[in-house]
Amino acid sequence: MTAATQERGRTGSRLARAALLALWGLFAGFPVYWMLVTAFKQPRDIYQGPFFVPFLDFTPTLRAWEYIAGPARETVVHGLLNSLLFAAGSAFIAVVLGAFAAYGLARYPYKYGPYRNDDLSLLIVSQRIMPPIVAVIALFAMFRAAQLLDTRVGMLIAYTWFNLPLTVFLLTDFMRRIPVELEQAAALDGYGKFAQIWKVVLPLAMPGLAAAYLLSFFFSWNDFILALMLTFRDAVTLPIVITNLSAQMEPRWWLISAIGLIAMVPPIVAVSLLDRFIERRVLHAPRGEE
Amino acid sequence: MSTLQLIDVSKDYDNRPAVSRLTLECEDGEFLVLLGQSGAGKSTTLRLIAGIETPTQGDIRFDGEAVTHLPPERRDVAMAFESYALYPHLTVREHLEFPLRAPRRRLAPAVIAQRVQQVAELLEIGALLSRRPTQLSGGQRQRVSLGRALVRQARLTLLDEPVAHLDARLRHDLRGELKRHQRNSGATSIYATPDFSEAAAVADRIAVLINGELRQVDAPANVYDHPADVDVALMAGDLKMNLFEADRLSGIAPLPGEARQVGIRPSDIRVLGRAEPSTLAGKVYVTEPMGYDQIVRVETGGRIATARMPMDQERFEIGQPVWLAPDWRRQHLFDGRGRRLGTAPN
Amino acid sequence: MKGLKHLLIAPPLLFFFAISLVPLIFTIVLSLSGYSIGGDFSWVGVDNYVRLASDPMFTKSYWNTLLYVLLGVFVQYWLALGVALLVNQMASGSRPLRLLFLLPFVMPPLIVGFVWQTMFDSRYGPLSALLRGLGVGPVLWLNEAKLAFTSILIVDTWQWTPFMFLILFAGLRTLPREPFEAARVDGASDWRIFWDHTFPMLLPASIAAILLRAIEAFKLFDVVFYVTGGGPGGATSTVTLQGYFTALRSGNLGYGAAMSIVLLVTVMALAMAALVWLKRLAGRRTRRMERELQAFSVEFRERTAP
Repeated sequence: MTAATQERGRTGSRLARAALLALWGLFAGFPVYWMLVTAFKQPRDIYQGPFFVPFLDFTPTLRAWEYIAGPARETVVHGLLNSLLFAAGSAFIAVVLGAFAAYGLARYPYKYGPYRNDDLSLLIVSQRIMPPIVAVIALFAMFRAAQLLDTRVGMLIAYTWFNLPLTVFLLTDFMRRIPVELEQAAALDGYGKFAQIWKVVLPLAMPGLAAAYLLSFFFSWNDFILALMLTFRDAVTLPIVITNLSAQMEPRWWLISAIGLIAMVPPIVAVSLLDRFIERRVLHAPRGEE
Repeated sequence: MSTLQLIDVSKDYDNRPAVSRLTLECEDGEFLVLLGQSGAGKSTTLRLIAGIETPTQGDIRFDGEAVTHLPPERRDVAMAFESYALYPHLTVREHLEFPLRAPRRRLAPAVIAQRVQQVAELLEIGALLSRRPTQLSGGQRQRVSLGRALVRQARLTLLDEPVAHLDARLRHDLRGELKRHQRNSGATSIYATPDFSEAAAVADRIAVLINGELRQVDAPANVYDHPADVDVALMAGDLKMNLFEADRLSGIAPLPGEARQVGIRPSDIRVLGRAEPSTLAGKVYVTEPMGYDQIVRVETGGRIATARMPMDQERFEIGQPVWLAPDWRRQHLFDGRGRRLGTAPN
Repeated sequence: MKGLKHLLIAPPLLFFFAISLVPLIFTIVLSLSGYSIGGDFSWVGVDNYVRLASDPMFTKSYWNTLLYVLLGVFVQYWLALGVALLVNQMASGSRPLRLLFLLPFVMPPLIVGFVWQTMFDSRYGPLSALLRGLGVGPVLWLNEAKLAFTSILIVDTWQWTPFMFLILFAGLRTLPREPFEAARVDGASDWRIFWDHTFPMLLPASIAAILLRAIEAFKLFDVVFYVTGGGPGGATSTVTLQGYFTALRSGNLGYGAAMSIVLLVTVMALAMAALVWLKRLAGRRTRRMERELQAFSVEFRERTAP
């Protein structure tokens, strides 16, 4: 192949690649756009067939938002705050407890009966394989007996349980990658165990801690079945609020879209806040710097 | 400043002994070198002394006090790790300050700054102070690791192959500087290396470790001239000692009955172009002219012997028949178990 | 400090026992009973399971779930791989692109269900408008059995392909450049390079992505709940959905528990089969490496013996 034909071939294929990616981008982004647009529509604009472009096809309105700020305010805020509390809180607890366990698993030899470190890891992580429905039915009965149904404490416990296997899994690998010699060096430099962890281990584990927190936050925030089974009034989360609003013959789509948009904000905020911790490569030099 | 005693110290990993029954004393202000190949137990010994590992058996004492079960942070020992063990998230300056900032020590900031400055100059890392380990070359990292150990002026300083990954020139310069620094500060130091010439250059005494056992602890000259056994003899010197079976030499050299192996250093053998009495016949395998010296390897009796001679003597061709004339006055005799019998009198 | 290591691992283990193990046993016991809310506890042995086998709603849900997993994971894998390869070839500025592609994953599944329900609406959904524009008659996405199933698959793909994309993309990023450059210099075509080099080297990431995705796919619930509610006539229902309806809507806890146990056994069987197969794969590799290492060290020793 001559260089010229190669070049032409490359530009051609580059165009094809760009086109494919654009197609996928369209597929990925359109539903989000649709929701964005629906949140600003009048009901009749929705029912009279799809209109796509604001100001051209239809006149945008803040009606849905006024409703949320007005009559629906209490319900929405209630659900939003609960969701935030459960997601942020359970993620935090899961990361802290998970980090402890991960450190233990990475550094100390355990032996409970025939179970050693790897077995314990597997035990904890395998909880992820279990479909939630298996536990939730029993949890429903257990929570009812313990009067934890529809309580904030109960939901925090439930979500922490939900996230712990993930955090332990992620963080054990991270902790193992931190060479134990660094703690030994710190010991020789005169630092006790806690100081070693505080000054050496934790800073180096930060990307892992941030990633584990983010993922836990996501999974809690997006959960539906736990909330569906274990709450009905006091501890309802945003998804439940939405379900209640759409349990009608003709759901108020503009309203639900608006709440849906609200529901997307905290995860996006969380990602942008924590992303810089995850990007930071402390242990290994990024490519091109060695 | 401190004296160190290892009393009958052993360490097993999974029932395999890494070091066995080490008994060693290190004087205050002494520069002791642990000499041994990889796997001989040098790092293990250093880690036991540092407190990172606990011995399976035996005692470790600083200044007569048992520290065997004391955690490292309370031993006042400094160590430069072979793998550097640098903190990825700290700058070079922070590395040097880190030990001095430990809660136990309360040092004035001025003192800290001054010590950091001193060590940075000694190791030529002054220009690197604001860099992080990922931005340093291998040699620079090694020097930072050294610096972290030296800045402490601890009562015992352990150096695990501290110049191993530096280029030859820097290696020579740095080990000289280390020795001077140690003399000035009087800090008791233990230095591990597999290189005999390096050990001989800096040590007050050398402790030879072979397969986890301490075979000889002596001044460098004694280790070279009077090696305690065959293994030690093979370690000492930059060219391996030649070993001949005593049987092969019967009739050529006078040997006491118990001698089983005879060792002659390459520098004590002359290679001759023609036969003479009391010589060994052989064929030149290869010659390596090195400018000031030449090394001639001769195939004889199924093995290869090495001789070192000045360049201005005869030159030889590969395949040329030659005769080896060892200086029998400088032979080393070993018994059936490899232990020395005693060199022949000069 | 001796007790420290036990303290460290105590909480997760406690959670495991209290909220995983105990409920599991509880659910198993429940599944062997005929307990309903407000009723009495009564042993029925394996009756529930026998009933399940001939329960048309359950069998439909079970096969649906399996199909969702097999079809969904298959389609999503190749899509994600394609996108990952394309994005990987873009030099810089791939970050905004990546964030765009991750958008579906950031959306709560319920919201996903809602949006797609509006999209599929045959009266005023954009999809129908598009089809009308192409001259195709009104498509009742959600009202016809096979179509509804496909709709759920579309939504599932939209939602989860980014997840696999993330894993595969990260895997691509960690591949060394040299083998590819060498192959290109040798004149290999892009296709060859992919099959001979990229794909095999990406195997660990691919396996991880497929395994993780499959395990999640078995749990399909939120989207089906919202978009079709399991209909029409159970055509899109999944085991989790059936379990939910049976246990909480109808209050028949015992029967619902039996359903969830069947699901659990299926997932565990898959996970263990995968683990065994992985171990054998890893074993074959390490054994081959060991043999090569041995041969090398023998050769080395012979060459350098005094």
